[in-house]
Parts: sequence; C-alpha cells; structure tokens
Amino acid sequence: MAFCCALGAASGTLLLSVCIYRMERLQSGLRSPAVTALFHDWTVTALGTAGFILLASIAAWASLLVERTDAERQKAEDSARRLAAIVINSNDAIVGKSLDGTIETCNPGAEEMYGYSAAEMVGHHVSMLIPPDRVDDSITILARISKGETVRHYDTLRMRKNGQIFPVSLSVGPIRNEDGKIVGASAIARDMTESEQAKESIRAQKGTLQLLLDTMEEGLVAADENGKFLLFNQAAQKLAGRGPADLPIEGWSSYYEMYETDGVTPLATDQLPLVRAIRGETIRVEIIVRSPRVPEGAWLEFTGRPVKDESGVLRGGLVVFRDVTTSKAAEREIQKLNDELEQRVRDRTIQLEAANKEMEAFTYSVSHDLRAPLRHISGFSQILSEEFGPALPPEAQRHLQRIEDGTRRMGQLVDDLLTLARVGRRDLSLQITGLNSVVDEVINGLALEVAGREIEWKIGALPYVECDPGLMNQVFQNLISNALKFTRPRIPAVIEIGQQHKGGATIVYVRDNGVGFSMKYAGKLFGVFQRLHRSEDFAGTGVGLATVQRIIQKHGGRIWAEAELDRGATFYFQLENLEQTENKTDGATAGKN
Amino acid sequence: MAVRQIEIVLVEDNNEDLELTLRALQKEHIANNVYVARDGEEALDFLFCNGVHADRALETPPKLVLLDLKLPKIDGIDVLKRLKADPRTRTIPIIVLTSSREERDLVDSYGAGANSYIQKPVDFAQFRETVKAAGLYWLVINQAPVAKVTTQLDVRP
Repeated sequence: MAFCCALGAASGTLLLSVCIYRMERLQSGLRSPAVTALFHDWTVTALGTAGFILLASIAAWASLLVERTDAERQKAEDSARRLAAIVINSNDAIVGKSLDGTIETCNPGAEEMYGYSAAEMVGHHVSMLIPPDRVDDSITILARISKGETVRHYDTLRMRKNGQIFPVSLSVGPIRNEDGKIVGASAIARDMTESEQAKESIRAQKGTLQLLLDTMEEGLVAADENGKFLLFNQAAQKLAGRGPADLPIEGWSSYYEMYETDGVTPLATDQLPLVRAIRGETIRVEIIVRSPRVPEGAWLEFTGRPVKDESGVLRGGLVVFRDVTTSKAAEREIQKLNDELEQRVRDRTIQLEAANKEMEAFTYSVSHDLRAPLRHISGFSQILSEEFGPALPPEAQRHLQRIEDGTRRMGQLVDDLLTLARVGRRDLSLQITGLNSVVDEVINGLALEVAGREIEWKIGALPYVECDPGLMNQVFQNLISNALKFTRPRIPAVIEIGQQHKGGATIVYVRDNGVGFSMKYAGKLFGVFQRLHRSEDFAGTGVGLATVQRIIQKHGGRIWAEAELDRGATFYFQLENLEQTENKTDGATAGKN
Repeated sequence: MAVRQIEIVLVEDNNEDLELTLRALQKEHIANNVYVARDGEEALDFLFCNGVHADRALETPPKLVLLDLKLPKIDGIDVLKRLKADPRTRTIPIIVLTSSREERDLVDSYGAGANSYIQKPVDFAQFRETVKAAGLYWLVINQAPVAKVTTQLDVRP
C-alpha cells in the first residue's frame, strides 16, 4: 500500500511537472469558461498546491489499481487536462522551485504578475522576483518548507521585472519526489495591490475622521437607541471630565454630574440632552456639568438631534456641546453692570424727584408768600398816597411813586420767574396747532399795548406744527412783546412774522425794525436776568427770552437771533416736529384722527 | 332775631390782606356786611352754625364766600371740600382768592368745587378792580338759587 502511495505521489508529481511544463501549449486549447468559473474563487485556489497534488496523487494511484482500459486512460487524461487548466487559468502566480530556490516551473499568471516570460524565469533563482531586502524571507520560507511545513497567506512583497514592488499574499507548500523526499516548493502568490489600496483608503478615511473628531473643540457624543455609546470624542471627554461609561441612561445624570442651570438641581434623566436626542427631539439646551477637573461646574451648551437610518427609523441620537462658561460669565457681568446702572438710574431718579419736589415746594412758596408782602407794600403805599397825598410834600409823593413802581416790577419779576419755573416742570401736551391762529390770538391780546402806535404788521402764512399750544402762545407773546417794546422809537414800527425753509427744515421768524442789538452780546440773549438794554430805556425782567428758549428746547427745537445795532432784530426758531401742512385748514384736527 | 344778613364771608388769616380786601370791598361799595373768619375752622363753624355760632340759622347762608387757600388749622381746600360735600352749604358760591396761580392750586380748587378762582394781583389798583368785578358779578349779576334750605337736620326745640 505504501508503495502504491509513493508511486501515486510520484506519478502525481510527474503529472504536475508535465502539466506545468505543457501549460503553454495547452493553454489555448484547454481554456474554457466552465473551468475558469469553477476555480474563479480565490479561496478554493488558495487551498493551494497541496490539495492539487493530493488530487493528482489519488488519480495516479487509482490508475494503477484499476485495470487500465482505453476509456479509463482517456478519463485520466481528461482529469489531468482539467487540473492543468486550473493552474493555467489562475490569476495567481504559481511557481515551482527547487529547495535552493531555482525556479523550475511557472504558470501564465506568474508571467503576467512578474512581467517575465516563463523562459526568463525558469532556471533562474527565485530572488529575481523578490525585493533585495526581502530575500532573507524567502530563505527562511524555503528552510521551513524543507522541514515539511507549509506557509499560508503570508503577507510579503514581490518585485516585478520593471522593479515595481507590490504586496502579495503568499502560500507555499513542499514538493516531494516519489520517495516522499522534499525536493522543492510550490509558491502561489496573489497580488494584493488593489486590496491593500482599498484597505489603505479605508484606513485613511478612518484616520481623517478620527483626526477631525479629535481636533474639534466641541464635544461630540452619539449613542444608539439603547443608550450604548457609539462615539465619544476627545473634546467630549475633556468637557465632561469623564469618558464613555457602560451605564444605563438612568445612571448618566449622577455619573456625569449634570445639573440644571441653577447649578444645584440634578438633571432628570428625561431632561438629559442625549436622552432627548435619542428619543427623537431636536434640542438646544444649556446645563451645568461638574467633574473632578471642573468642580465648580462648567456651563455647557448642547445641541442634539436624533439619528435615523435611510428608512427613517430612529437609530439613536447625537449631541454636540461646547463650554460657554466664559461667555456666560461675561453675560452675567453685563447683566450685573446693567442692574447696577439701572439701580443708579433709579437712585438718580429718586434724587431728581426729590429735587423736583423741593423745587416745586419752593416755587409754590414763592408763589404764595413772596407776592403777598409785595401786594401789601403796593396796597399801603397807594392808600397812603390816596388818603394823605394832598398833605405830603411833592418829594414825598415822588418817593411813594417809586415805591409803587418798584413793587410792580418786583411783582412782574416774580410772576415771570414763576412762569419760567412752570415751563420747566410742565409736561408738554402736544396738539397739531396752526401757528397763525396763535399769532392772531397774541396780537389781539396786545391791543392795549399797541393803542396809539403806528404799527405795520406783516403776517405771512405760518405752518401747522405739533406743539403745546399754551406754551407756543407764551413764545409768541414774549417775542412779539419784545418786538413791540424795542420798536417803540420807530414810526411806523414794522413787525414781520413768517416762515422760511432751509435744508428741509421749516424756520419761523419774528422780525422787527427796532433798535436791535450788537451781535457781540448775542450769547447773553437767552440767559436768565440777562439784559442788553438799560431799564431806563426799555423795561424788562430779563426772564422772557430765557422762558422762550426753555419752551423751544422742551419741544426739541432751537432758537437763535440775528440783529444789528439800530437796524432791528430777527428771532428764528425751529421745532423738531415742525412740518409743513399748508393745505390743512383746521389746526386742531389736522394730522390727528 | 333781627340780625343783619351776612352777605360775604371773608376767610383770611393775614392782617394786611384782610385790611386791603375789606378796604377794596368797602371802597367799591360791594358789601358792608362782611363776616371775617381768621382760619378754616372758624369759617366752618360759622357756615355750619357750630360752636359760638350755634345760634345762627343755617337757612340764611351768605351770598358769597371769599376763601384764601393757605389757612391755619384747616386749609382752604378742606374748607371748600366740606362746604361742597354738605347739601346745606353746597349751593353757596365760593371764590378762591389767593396769591398763587400754581396749577396745583387751580386744579385742587376746581376739583373741590370752587365756583371761581382769582389770583390777588400785586398792584393794589388792579386788586381793587378785581375785587370790584368779582363782587359785582357774584352779588349783582349772578342769579343765586333761592335760599331755601330744607333742613330737617337742624330742628331745634
């Protein structure tokens, strides 16, 4: 039996040698799609020469035991052809070599892979196919083979004729002679270039992704629908102070020390950002997270959303979070400053209100108590002159008259000052008002003052404006009274009231041909108690224009004057809300619903 | 009791003002029969016939009250309020006659039911004119309601 086996093995070896030797010639004739398809799969092929040899041996052995008929011989030949076809059609390089490494046989796959023709390889040392630095490998392998071992799927490098080095997966097995002695090795090399490239590409992608995950400043955590962490990047570990833990979601809140923004209320499980994301919510929340690294707690802002597959089935959730402690601190600081500011405004307002109250009490007192003694002086001096006048010497009568005049002036001053104070305190009650009607009213009221004087009034069309009619009356009252006063030496006095437009603004003016004033003193014009004329020439308290200015300023407007000594004066004013409404006829209703 | 009917009640605490007002009333022949109250309490006692005025009849009210605002004890606005709150005195015309024309005083006075508000002018001639005009208007021109007070409250034995 042993003999038979040996004989079989020898026959097999012989057959293999024949097969490989004849490959070239059989190549075209035996290549058939069926055979190719049968051995297309690498795994089958990779089982390697050993299986192939075994098959061949069995075939050979069987042929000795069984009486040979022509038909049987034919069958054996068919079988050999099939085996040869397998070798020939393999895409893998199959090389037979002696134990000293001399190439003895090779298939077309080897020619294609290494770029050498069979003739160029056979008889040469196998090192021609190996990168110089890997030649030792091949010696080691041959040493193992000579001990009867086999080498499977050994990843190494090979070199093509053009010098290109490429990765292969190598399977090597021993070739024995009829005595069972190992006389060579068969090596099957599979070109792994494409496979390596694919692996490399995946590695690169993974690497890039990992790099991105590791680089991002935001924490990124993803978990599947059961709360098993799928992803927990470096930033997340740093921000949370802890890495992914194998805990049920109910344990997360306490493990990761998550709190509501008050920093003390532990976050309920169903409020955890990742839990909410896993349950299908898209969220944006802020929470406090404590850790040994940040015992005082970090203010983290989370955005989260569910993760769904292509068919929309919930597969888990992911959260991205970042540390907003600094900006929160800044926010709090701003808030604190705002609060302080508001408090300061409140304090100031209270102080102002107190000052206003004091001022009010003062003017109230002035109104009541300062006028009374003046009235008494006026009253009793008049009684004196009425009842004892005839008995008094003329000089005493003149003195009495001075007392009365002084009292009257003082009374006027007090009244004017009270008016000024009232203007300051009073809230504006704005109405659309036709200024022509205001001017008419004021001029009518001045009938007594103008009696006996020759006055030429030139009243132009005036605008309708939103103003406090009572205060606007005061403005014209004072301006027109001034105009009348300072035109006293003129015959006729010319007083012109009109409007002009400048850069979209409407300016109202009151012009007279009176004594005017030097522009040198224009700055003093609107100050309280400032007078540009001697009181012997023109009486006045010096409060009127200050009051006018106060009223105009209260309306958000401004007033100014142009004058020339002895050539008259013009007072201009412009109100913030001065608007041209010439077409409107009724001042009280114009512009209002 | 044939007491002359009081035409005007003048409520005034200041001596000088009192003298000047009385002089103006007399000079202009407005009224000779003036009752002077020196503070708010006295004014109310007189008008409601209380205290020393208990024997006065409420049925004969004055034709006019001239009321200062700044008064001792009970101030003018309170006097005004009480007179206007009581049906027995509600119809008596009351003129507030005072130094100020502060908005607060005006608003409070009319709010409490004053029939008129007059600021005392500083100039005495003007003051006299003012008192004369007011007296003429309220005592002569104005038609007062018939002084028939239906007062079951004041039934005396």
